[in-house]
Amino acid sequence: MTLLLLMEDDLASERHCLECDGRTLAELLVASTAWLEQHTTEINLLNVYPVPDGDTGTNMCLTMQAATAEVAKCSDLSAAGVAHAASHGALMGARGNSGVILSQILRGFARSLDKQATFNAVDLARALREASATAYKGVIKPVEGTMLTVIRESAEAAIVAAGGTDDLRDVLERVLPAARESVERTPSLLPVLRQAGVVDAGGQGLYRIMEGVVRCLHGETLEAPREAAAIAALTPPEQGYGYDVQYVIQGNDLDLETIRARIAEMGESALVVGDRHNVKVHVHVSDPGEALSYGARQGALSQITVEDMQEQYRQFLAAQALAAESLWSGGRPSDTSTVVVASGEGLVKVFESLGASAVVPGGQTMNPSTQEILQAIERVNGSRVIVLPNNANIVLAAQQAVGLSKKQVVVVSTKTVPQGIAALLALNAGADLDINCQAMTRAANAVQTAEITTAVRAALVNGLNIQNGSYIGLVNGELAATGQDVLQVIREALKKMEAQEKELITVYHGNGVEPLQAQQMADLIRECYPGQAVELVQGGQPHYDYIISAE
Amino acid sequence: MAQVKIVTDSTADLPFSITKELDITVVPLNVHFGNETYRERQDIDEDQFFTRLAEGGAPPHTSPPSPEDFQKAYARLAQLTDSILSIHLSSKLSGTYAAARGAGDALRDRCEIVVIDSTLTSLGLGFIVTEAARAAREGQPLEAVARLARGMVLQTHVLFFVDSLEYLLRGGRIGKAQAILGTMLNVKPLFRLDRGEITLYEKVRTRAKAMERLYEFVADFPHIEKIAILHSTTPNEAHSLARRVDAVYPMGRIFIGKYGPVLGTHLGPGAMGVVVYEGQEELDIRT
Repeated sequence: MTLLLLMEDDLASERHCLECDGRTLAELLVASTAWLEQHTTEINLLNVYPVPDGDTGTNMCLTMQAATAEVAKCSDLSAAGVAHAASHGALMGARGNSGVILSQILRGFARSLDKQATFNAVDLARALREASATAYKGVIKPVEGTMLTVIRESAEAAIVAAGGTDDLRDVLERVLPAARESVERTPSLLPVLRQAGVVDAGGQGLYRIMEGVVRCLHGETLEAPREAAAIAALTPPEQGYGYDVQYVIQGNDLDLETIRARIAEMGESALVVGDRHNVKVHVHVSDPGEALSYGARQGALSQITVEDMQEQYRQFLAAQALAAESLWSGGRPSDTSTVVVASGEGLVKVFESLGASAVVPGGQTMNPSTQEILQAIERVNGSRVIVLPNNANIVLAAQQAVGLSKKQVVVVSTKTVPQGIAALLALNAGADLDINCQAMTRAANAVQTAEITTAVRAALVNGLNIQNGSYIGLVNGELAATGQDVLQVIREALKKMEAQEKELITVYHGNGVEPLQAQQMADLIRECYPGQAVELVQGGQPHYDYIISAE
Repeated sequence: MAQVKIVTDSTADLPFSITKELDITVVPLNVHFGNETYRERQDIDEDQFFTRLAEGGAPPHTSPPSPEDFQKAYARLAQLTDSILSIHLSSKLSGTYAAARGAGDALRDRCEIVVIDSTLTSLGLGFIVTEAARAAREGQPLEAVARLARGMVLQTHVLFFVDSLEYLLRGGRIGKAQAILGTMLNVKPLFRLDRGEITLYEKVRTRAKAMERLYEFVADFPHIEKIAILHSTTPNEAHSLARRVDAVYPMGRIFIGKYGPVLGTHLGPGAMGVVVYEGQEELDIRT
């Protein structure tokens, strides 16, 4: 027994690790990102509801990739320099609520290191504690049983460990099992997780990041898998990719892997996400024509944007100069502009016809990053901007963008598309921001929303036995109905929405539903609700066959 | 000194019985269906107009009276009086006010003519005109009647909605920026007349809600002297709104009317609105 302990001590002293410099931190970040990428699918599958959204794994992975991309560009190779670069990259690239919280964790970590060239065990424990505190502060109503709990308990374990050893590796090796236990406890803290029989996805993602760090410290080489779920590997930055090309391909049987591989060959920062019907492509290339014509051969293209990145940067500088100027001259702010998040050709048109100044593509499965929202805020005219995220998982990224803009920005936390539409209708372009914010929030809250989709796996949630592939209906984000017959699911959802008491039922049908089929569905709903006006709108949204509002 | 004579235009939407009783001279605007020209409420009444509109065909358009039309009206009145008050619809919506101004120049030496831009139209204009006519009948001088009319402008409020933006757009009476508003969702936009211009007030999704807004608009006034409810093709809705308004203003005194052919051309079928004249609230100065 004594002998064994001695041997372990000997082994430990061999790889004694008292300080960590910036170069090592950068390596650890890259490795942990790669490890996270390998577990993207595992984390995505931890959705509480078996609906095709959330994609926590994808969101965290994209956020970490944004962090490491910034680190790769960073010239200050002190530990603090690398941490600040990662923090900035994650902040701008944050997608989904999990991505935003992750970016706050990196921010707290970086802030704690301040200007240090290296950090030791005590610094690490402190930085994790600061990371935890910053993450908690970043969320308006912190919920236990989430990533927040995992970072907090990990930090607590680090503080205890740092009291007993000055070896960074030892500290991390004690933090890791604590993080794992913390993740395993999440279902006991959060009833929805318990019901769904899953652990918290964000917590699991955070655990995988830490696991990647420890594995790297053990000398393992971690690489992003070729088959990483829905994410293309980031190629190292190169010169000459002057155009930012984005588009969505719509088709019947798109081969995501092939498209991703081909797009990744064309340029850098390739992001190819989606499924068999919709693929979103985002890539920086030197020849936008090549990327576009390739996409057009795969299916129908929509939401095409080609931007000259140099030009974008010049415009950004010009806009900032203008903003500064108007501050100096005390310029009167012009009318209020709006930035909304939506996907689906029809929904985009609806928002535009209601006067939305900019539509950021995204929604249930494609959460836009903080930077994408920020760019839209900067792009629209006027110094007062209202952001409508239209999805619970985009609210935090939108709020994060508020703090990054020089403009006066507020987020009206719309959680569904119909809420967003109601809010936009209530906008009075001449009124001031506070009054609009109140009126729009009130209007959004007066709308009941049902979202009808198909289950991506079997599950038992809210007492509903859901079979893989069956229809499910969410009412105001809560799982409310399931079954094989879509009409039956819609009828149950409408009943839960108390549609009988409302005036107007609006049915937005998705891109998976033929117009004739949707027309028949609207007629059937009219039969059930003769006292209500029923309007049918072609929404064209992916994944969700129907989004229905009652107001 | 002779009694002041009151002149207005046909968009005041006043019934013939009232203009006759109060001796108000009405100069008509014109509605054109293709090559055919109709003088509002003389050659075509509102029922004939909306029937014709529903028949389809090329959409009608409108034109203001000519300065000559005003000259003739003023010349006829100048034989009976030496002071005329001519009150018209908003100069931002029509060339009528411009045509009236200057039309009386030839009569300047024998008759004083004051032309007022009411910044309103329909019964908003109608209320001002009838009150002015009553003051004139009481024998008040031109200056006092004109002051009364101008004072009423700021106390008269208009809110209306249209069933479809198509007609307002075609007539170019609202800006293009507002034009695209809600075309995907069948939105019922509510508008106010603000300093003579049609400005967006609120966007709602159903007629029921739009009617509710008209009611709320009325109910918010602490004091009301007169109310009119106007519609283009929905008398039943206008009456049900009147029953609703009865809670704040006796239904028997509500004027329920129909938009004339000229406003009908720009608002289309299914439009509805309210006009509120606040009047002077009698202040209780006892402490």
